[in-house]
Amino acid sequence: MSFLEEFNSRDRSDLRQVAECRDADAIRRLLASEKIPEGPETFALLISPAAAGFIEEIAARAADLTARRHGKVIRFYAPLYVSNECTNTCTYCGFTMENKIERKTLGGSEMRAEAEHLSRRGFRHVLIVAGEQQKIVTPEYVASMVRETKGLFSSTSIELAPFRTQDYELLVRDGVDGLTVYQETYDREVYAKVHLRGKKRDFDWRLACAERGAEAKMRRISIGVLLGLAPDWKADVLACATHLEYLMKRWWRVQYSVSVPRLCSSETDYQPAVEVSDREVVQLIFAWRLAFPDAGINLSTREPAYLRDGLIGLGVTHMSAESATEPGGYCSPEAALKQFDITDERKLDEIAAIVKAKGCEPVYKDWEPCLIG
Amino acid sequence: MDDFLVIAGRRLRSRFFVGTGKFPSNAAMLAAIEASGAEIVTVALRRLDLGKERGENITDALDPEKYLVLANTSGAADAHEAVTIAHLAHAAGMPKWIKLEIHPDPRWLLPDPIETLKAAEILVKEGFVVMPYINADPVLAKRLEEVGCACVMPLGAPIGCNQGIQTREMIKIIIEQSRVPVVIDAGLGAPSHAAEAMELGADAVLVNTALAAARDPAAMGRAFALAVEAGRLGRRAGLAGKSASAHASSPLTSFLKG
Repeated sequence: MSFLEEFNSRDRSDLRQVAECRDADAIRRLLASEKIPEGPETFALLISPAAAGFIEEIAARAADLTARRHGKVIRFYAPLYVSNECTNTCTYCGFTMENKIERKTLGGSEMRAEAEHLSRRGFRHVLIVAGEQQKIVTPEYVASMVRETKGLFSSTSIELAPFRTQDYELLVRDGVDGLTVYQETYDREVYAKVHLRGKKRDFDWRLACAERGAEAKMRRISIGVLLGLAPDWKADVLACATHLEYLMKRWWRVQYSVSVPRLCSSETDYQPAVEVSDREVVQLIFAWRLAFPDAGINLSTREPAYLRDGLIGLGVTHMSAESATEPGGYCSPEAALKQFDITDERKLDEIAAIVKAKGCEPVYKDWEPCLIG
Repeated sequence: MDDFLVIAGRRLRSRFFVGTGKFPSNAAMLAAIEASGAEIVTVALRRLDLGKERGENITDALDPEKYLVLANTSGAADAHEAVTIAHLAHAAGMPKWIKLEIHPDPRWLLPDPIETLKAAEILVKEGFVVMPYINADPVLAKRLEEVGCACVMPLGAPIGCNQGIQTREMIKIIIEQSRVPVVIDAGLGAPSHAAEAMELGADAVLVNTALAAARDPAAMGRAFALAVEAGRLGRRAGLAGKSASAHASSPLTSFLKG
């Protein structure tokens, strides 16, 4: 059974109910177990109001599990935007087609310059990002951009429009080892309301994307929801937890991570349907850690510095830094082209120093490209 | 509360499978199976004389309406032999279900992972419902699941040793990761072992020696059946934990404002 079939047939209302738990004893029992059961049930319990009252105890478990399963380390990566061209109308995104911003797609020499800049700053892991313009940002274009960076990075992931399995196979052959694809929201109604035009309207195509990546032998896959897009963010993350559970069991060779992005201000005047507080995000990160100890957790520069610093060692495994969210933004920053405003603008070295001060190791290289291909 | 185990679309009320070897008599075997409430009964094809008339083989006394009698490939030393046994069993009118066991080693009867995976792939393609007996190896379990096995049957300890679940930590990983039912097979020597397997989250257990070698096989069959049910109920009721949670010496979340 594909995840799409499971998603369509599974009633998640029982999980949603658990996420409203107010019984402190249920949390005490969970925390008393030597080994906390993994999976969506535990996840639901840990995002409940009852669990909010145990945030310190939960943080201690999260710290312990993170150290044991992932090490006392933070892995750094940088996004590399190659294009802000987009044929979608997504009401919340700075790249939305209606937005009259200047559009730009990197050519080979520009790509090389951006990559060299990041490499000089110390980054070895990059995430190639683009808007969804299927005629411009084709798999072949992306493959040629990856080839431009040859020798500079040890791990290259992509966050682009969902492609076909054979496209991912092509990219894997050219050195891409990771795929990031957020469903944004698992609520079909909200999804239809915020994705007004373009290929991205196809909910099912996007939902099956992670599996296509796994089939094409991507080594790392990252999924997530955009918090604040759907009014019921808990229902959204619960659906995401069932997605992760499915992927981990069905495509068990892949290393998974989750992200917890909150809607940021962008060039659109979109207002989040719900405000997810810092405290809620922290509780959510701990829930991911305890319910899915093997999953990585990414925390981007969308989040404020104090929160990122506070979470070092408590669950987060991957952080971006110094991010530019416009194509060409590292060599020649132009605010007008941005997808969204980042919040933590500190330099990589500065963040790395804090990671060290917290007793963790900043890690820049954690993959060797000769392992694939 | 219905709690069926579903294997290859077949709904089973009993989570206790019984093997038919080593019993002191057919009558003792039948009494033990009857008392166990088992619905799946396995028999070594090599024990059957396919040339014999109906009524003369040990399985003939088992009502096919009541029991799903499966052949196992016990005796096979490699994939080729196991596939041949499966073909024979099917040709002899047995259901197209096969308990795949390949043990080239006559001393411990430990399963050969490489030959098992090879045979499973062939038999699944031929349309068999394949139930492989394996060592408690989580990666092998996933590989067998991928080729289409209907369940996996990791051992608790070597066949016939009655030592209980010696592979506990690996069994836990198999259960946590599996998308097909996990049946603990081999090594379960006492009803408490079966209860433990079910408490760990196994979907079913298979027992043979512990019944066959008991002073009273029928009573032991009943004891195991109760233990399986108790373990299953305990698992579903949500076991309370043993150790207390960790306590941080200084607050970890004080960075949160407000």
